[in-house]
Amino acid sequence: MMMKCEHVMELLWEFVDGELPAAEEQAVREHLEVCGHCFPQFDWHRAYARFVHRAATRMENPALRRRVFAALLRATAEQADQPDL
Amino acid sequence: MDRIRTIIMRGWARLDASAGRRRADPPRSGRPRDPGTPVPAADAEAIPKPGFAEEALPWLDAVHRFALRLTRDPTLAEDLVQETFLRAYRSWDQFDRGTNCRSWLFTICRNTHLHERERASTRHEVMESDIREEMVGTTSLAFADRRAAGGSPDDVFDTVLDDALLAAIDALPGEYREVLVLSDLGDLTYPEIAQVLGIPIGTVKSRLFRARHQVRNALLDRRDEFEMRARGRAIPDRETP
Repeated sequence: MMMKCEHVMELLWEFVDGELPAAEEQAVREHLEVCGHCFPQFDWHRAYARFVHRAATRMENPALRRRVFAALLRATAEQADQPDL
Repeated sequence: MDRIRTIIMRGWARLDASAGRRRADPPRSGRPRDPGTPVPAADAEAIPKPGFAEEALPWLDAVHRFALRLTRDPTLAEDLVQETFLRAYRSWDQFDRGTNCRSWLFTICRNTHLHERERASTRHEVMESDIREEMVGTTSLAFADRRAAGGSPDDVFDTVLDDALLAAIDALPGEYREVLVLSDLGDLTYPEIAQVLGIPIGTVKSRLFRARHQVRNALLDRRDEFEMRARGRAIPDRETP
């Protein structure tokens, strides 16, 4: 039996996040493939997830990477100086 | 009669558009995941503790994103990232290799932040509200600088959106913000978030869904403004020889 729209709406974020058990995931996907009401809702949820992912992966900081790396090397040298710590 | 026909036609057009989108971009479960930033082999060799460079260092940017949203201050966030990685490095022997290193780093980062904040609040109780205002100001300024640096209209639009996204995230209540950042910027799964924060999975879900609802609404509320700003930026760019 086809899953009801209300139930699909409740599970939408979990579907987008890939957190549903296989059977439920399949039921939601099958519903979305044919439902003209739920699919646009899903499309918005997915657009949000894609946008945030794009925004997040742009925020890289090579200078900080170098700084942390230098601190780790210093910590290594300090530990080598004090082998009993 | 005409009115009814218009309603039916509109409904049909909407369904038709939705069917088109379904065909072009079918519903799949799961969102894009951050694979981490690879560490160059030469760097990895310079770190003597086995596995640390390969397992921990790729998550530096992810931890930085988390730290930025926790502290809401670029300088404090960088200090927090450095402290997190130093602590992780010192206790690397205690980490169970092969388990989730990213969650482990987020846990250290959060505990370090809570500890620092506690220490700071006992020292500067009166100053706190002033400091917080200053912090929010600094974050916005950093993004304003990036906007001023220019770029293609796409870059500008994306940067404006970044700015709005961060403002929307920063406006969330603390417990919502934490869950949303761990999930959407940190890419952790529900069980991993539950573990880092020490709360049930059901609580993770309800906080996360409410937080996303608020962030999405905040972004949609500013949609017209983004379009205006993107257009405003695009025109002078084209005129520049």
